[in-house]
Amino acid sequence: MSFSDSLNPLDGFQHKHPSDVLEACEIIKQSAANLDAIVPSGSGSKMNIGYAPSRKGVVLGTKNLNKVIDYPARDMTITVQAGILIKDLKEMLGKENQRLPIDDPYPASSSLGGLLATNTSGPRRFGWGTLRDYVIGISILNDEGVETKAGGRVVKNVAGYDFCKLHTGALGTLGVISQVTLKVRPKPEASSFVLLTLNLANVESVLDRIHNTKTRPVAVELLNKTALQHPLFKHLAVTSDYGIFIGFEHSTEAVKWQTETLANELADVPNSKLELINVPSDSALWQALGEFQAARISGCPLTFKANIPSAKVASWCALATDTIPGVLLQAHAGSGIVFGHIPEGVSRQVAFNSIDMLLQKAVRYQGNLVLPYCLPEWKADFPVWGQTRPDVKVMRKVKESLDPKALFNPGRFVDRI
Amino acid sequence: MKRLLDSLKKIVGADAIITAASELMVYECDGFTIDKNRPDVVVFPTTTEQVSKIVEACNYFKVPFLPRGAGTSLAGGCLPVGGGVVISLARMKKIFDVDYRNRCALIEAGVVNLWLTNHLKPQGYHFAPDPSSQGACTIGGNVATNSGGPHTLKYGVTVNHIMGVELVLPDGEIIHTGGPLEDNPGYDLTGVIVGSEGTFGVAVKSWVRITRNPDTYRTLLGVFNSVDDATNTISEIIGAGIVPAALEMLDQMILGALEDAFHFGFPLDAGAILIMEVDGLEAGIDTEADRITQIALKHGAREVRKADTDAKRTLLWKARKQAFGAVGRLASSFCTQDGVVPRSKLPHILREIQRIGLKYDLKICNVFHAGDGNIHPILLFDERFPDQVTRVLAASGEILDECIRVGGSVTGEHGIGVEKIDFMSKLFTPDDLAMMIRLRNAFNPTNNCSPHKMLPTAGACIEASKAGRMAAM
Repeated sequence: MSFSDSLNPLDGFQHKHPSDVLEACEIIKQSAANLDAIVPSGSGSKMNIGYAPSRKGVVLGTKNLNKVIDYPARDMTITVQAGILIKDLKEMLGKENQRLPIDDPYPASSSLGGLLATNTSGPRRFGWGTLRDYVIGISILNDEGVETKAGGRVVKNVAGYDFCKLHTGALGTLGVISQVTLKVRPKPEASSFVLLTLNLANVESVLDRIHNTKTRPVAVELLNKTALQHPLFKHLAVTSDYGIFIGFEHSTEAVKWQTETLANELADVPNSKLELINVPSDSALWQALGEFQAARISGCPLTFKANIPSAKVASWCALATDTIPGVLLQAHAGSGIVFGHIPEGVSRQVAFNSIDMLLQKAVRYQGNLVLPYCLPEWKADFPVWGQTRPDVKVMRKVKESLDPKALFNPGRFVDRI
Repeated sequence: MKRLLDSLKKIVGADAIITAASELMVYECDGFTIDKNRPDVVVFPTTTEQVSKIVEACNYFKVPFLPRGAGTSLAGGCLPVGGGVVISLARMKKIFDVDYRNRCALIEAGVVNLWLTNHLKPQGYHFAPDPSSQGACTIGGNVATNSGGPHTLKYGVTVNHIMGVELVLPDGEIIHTGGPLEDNPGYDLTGVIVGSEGTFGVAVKSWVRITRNPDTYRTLLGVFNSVDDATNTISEIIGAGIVPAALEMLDQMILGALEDAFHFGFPLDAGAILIMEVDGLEAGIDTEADRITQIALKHGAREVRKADTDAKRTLLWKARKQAFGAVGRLASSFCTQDGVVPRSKLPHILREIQRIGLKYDLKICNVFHAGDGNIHPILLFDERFPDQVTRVLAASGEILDECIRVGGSVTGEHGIGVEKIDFMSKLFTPDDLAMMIRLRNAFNPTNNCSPHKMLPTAGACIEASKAGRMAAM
């Protein structure tokens, strides 16, 4: 189940699914003339993110804009329309033994445009980076209903401003992403995990040791006990306070060496248990670790995402566990990203106070805390986009310059841009 | 101007200002020497607050300004078109804070690229972007142009390693974008400031990502009889799903110059050589190096040598990175281009470069980032002969046109600057360019900061650029 269970904010919107770019442009022109809001939507799997649009209008669905434009596999690039489903993109790349090494929680239902607009990433970000490292060309349907492009189809290119970065994570507030060119990577030959289950007292020192390991993990995932009891991980039967999944992807030889080396490095952690899990990079465990951050847990009113220093992950997670009874935590620990699901039954007041406290703590570390999922009726009071940063002034100028009529997703993004 | 100078003196002191014509000559161009124009004044601030006040003073007196690092840009990014104030960041060279545990560092714009890597070396880290000019170029300049380098094939270009900036906006306001942590909410302003060639303001500090050094390297030298064999090898290495750390090609003409300068032992009768480097863990690296060797041999490499000691590897990279300097042995003047093609089109574009060289009766040598498809044809000439200059410009244009025709770009890492401004309308439609102007206006509405750069917005830009070019001939 995905975030699409809460589409209330889009009641009263017209839903249109243009069959080509020209038709999409016409819809934008018409909406612009009427000053109707335009809400870009791929598969609709991430529509709960952010505030409800501040005015009604059109949901512009890109599901029919899903063609592969060009796939010169030997150049390791691919150009596709943004409505393509991640699973179809994966399948196409897989035929050439290539991939986009970005985790998407719901590849079967989410679109590339949605992935890009929300800057989604997962465990592999530690080793392989995030979408901003892979998008080399972009086409945008602008506020005048014109398709404009930036970047190109070659892997290195500094001609013109890098709109690829600007639209990645902009939640469709600056235009509709219509086409994307990606740099892709070869599929790794092998993959494995070292799973270390341990007590809270040792988490911080173990994460420090992983930071200095001789190996080169591509993922360092920390899950607390309640998270490990979720159906995605229950079969692992972990009973300790925490589990750390250290993932490797490389040649068979290098993966084998790294798995053994890290196991040796961590062999003396007190009161811990080590397990070596040899699974391919498209295995259920990789998928589960990618999915859990966006899992919809029955009755969960809110999911938060914090960005904090990697060195503070252990203590911050301990604080969150103490503060919110039953919270389910997953940290992409190497990157300092922590996701938390508040369980059913936590009152609005407790949730509000806890989120405020955790947010302030993250801000003191120069980070922030946002709510990728939140009950619509809570959004008015909760810090959906965390603490507003001073550079929001420039963001507003960018928005006003590129979308002066505030057509695209009005009011949904940071500071209700 | 006198009142502006008085203001600037109050801000930075008289010893941090240059106004004498003889001293200003240094600042009349950068590594792109065909266009020249002297600034009215160069000022050397040491703090962000000083930069902010300088910018405010320039705005007050309506004098254009632009930032400058070491001036190694190869596209005229530092050219003060129309004069004005050059804000040199050369004295802002502090490395404030290196946080190894969180893998980032806060540094000032004037820090030289290689200083940072040397600073990180004892802890086993480096700053990944390594432009050939890394011994001189500054991080601020790298941020402005989104610099590349040989090892960006595996590690990415500058933007992939910049997490945030402290920017003095063109109106003097100081803002911070991004920061030491990833995934800050809001637009990725940092991502779009990098590569904006100084047109969004003055980036005075950066949070940079630092990268762990690889455990080991295997550096191979593939010796080929022909350029075709070498480019086919590159195409197959990439196509086979191997991501080397670097994949660089040098042709016969440049090899001769490099051998004279560095005495590496390059085979002077080779048609081309490839520097092929893999790095990472010891485990599995020989298998990868062997695969590359086999591909090279399959495509006619007559031998594949190993640079099997640190000293040899260091010398090889020194020779490669200083190749432009060695070109002085071949001709009194040269013009380097920076086109990019899809990697599978490398054999084609190299043949085209050869054809264009013959057509215009010019010697063109090649030394470039082959793995990225980023070509650097070096057109040799003697600027005392106007006819040669005309032919160089025509040949350059034809090469870049061909890059565009096969789906590439006119610049992979040097930037548009003033040099390639005419090509923007070939790469982009008027609607594309209009969006870029709108974005620039969000940061720089008066266009008083780095005017006449990157975007062909005003006739004055192209006219000024061309006037300078003609004067230089």
